[in-house]
Amino acid sequence: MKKGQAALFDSIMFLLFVSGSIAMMYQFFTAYGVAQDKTMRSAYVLAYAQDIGKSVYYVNAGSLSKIADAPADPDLYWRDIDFSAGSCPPGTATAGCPYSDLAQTSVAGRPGVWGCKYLEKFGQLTVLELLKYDLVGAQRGSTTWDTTGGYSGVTSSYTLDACLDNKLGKANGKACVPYDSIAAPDAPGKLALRCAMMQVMKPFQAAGYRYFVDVVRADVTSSVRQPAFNLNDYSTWRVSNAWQANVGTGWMSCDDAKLAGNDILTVGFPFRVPDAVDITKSVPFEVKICLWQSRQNRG
Amino acid sequence: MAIGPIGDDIPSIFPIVLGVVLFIGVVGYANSQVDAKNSYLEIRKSVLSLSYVIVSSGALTDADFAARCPQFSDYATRQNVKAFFSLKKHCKNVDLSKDILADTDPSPASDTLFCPSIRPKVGTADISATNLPKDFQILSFPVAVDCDATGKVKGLGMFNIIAWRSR
Repeated sequence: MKKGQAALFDSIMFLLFVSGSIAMMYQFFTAYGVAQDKTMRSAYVLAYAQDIGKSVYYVNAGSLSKIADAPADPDLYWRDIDFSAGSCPPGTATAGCPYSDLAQTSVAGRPGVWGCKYLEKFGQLTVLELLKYDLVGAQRGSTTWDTTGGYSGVTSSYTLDACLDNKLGKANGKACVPYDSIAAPDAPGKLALRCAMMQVMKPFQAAGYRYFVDVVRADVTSSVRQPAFNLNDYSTWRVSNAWQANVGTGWMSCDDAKLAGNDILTVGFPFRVPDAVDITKSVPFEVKICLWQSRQNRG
Repeated sequence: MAIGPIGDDIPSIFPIVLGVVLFIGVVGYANSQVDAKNSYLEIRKSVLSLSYVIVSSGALTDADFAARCPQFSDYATRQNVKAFFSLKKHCKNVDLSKDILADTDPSPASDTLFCPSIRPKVGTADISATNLPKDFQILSFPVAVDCDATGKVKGLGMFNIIAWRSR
């Protein structure tokens, strides 16, 4: 009988040992591939962002003007852009609707206000070309823009603009100000970039990603200035689908999004902008696209 | 009240058999799970590799797509996956509700191009949104595409890769 008890004890111990092994195996195969999967997903996000960077070299700004033609039903147009269908009326600056300004074609009395439709006149200029014009200073024969930002009719050296404000020239050394307070030719590079990003990021927008597009001076690694954000001034809206309430609390750059504790993926693509005075010189820039998975519906 | 040397051990056989069966069952299950995950990761890796090669320039014209289609299939074969490619031209508005496998307009002016032009079979029917392989993966990549017949107007498009394991 004692021998039988010993055998039973041994077999139960064996069963316990097997159970422990099974628990360890279960733990192993539930964790198996999770890290690789995460890496693959990140690789896809980065590949997608890199492809955006490459495609804006080719996409005509004029083709983006047709975005506004597409929606027969304005609500349908915005449904796949914003999570809350119907709450972002096209053409109305609404908190939480980072692209609601882009569907309007004109606003009476405010010539500077435009939606993607405005890009029609830029025809085959590409998004990146417009972005370059936006960043370069204006130099037009003997009539140039003075450094205070207004037209002076006086020849002056005008170099880099370095202000993403949809304007050719201006702002050299000055704080960026909203476009419609300055008489300067249009170079809506920022607008073109916003229209392109709004369209091309739809799959990630729908998947809950947020992004910010930052233009950086590659030689000094500082972000290109943008006019102070103003809800009622469309030129000041950021190239982002993350809501930016104001300068004080809103995100201004990829670094700010990182400081907010987000797990950021960043892709940069370089380009050069010729110096406005000496075209043998050029200034290196980088467009940085940073993405993160939002922990909330917006922002 | 001993029932003999073998009879004493009979009750202990049941936990042992149970342990062995459980162990073998779990090893088999774990193996199938690891295989499935490996297969998923390998397909995804292959699709990413394909995308690096195919969308490397950022633009894909109609002529390029047609001319390079045999290469695409070759790349996929070398990656040990089967693949079907579609180029959706969203020249006006990126519409996510559009079926990337729908061929509503077979004319050359169609807004969707397919490679290969003869659709692969899944089971007995052609591949479609409602008839996809069991272990398929679809990844989309933005690309500049021809938006007019002359090829001078470039707009936004999506290059879609549908890949699955060759068996």
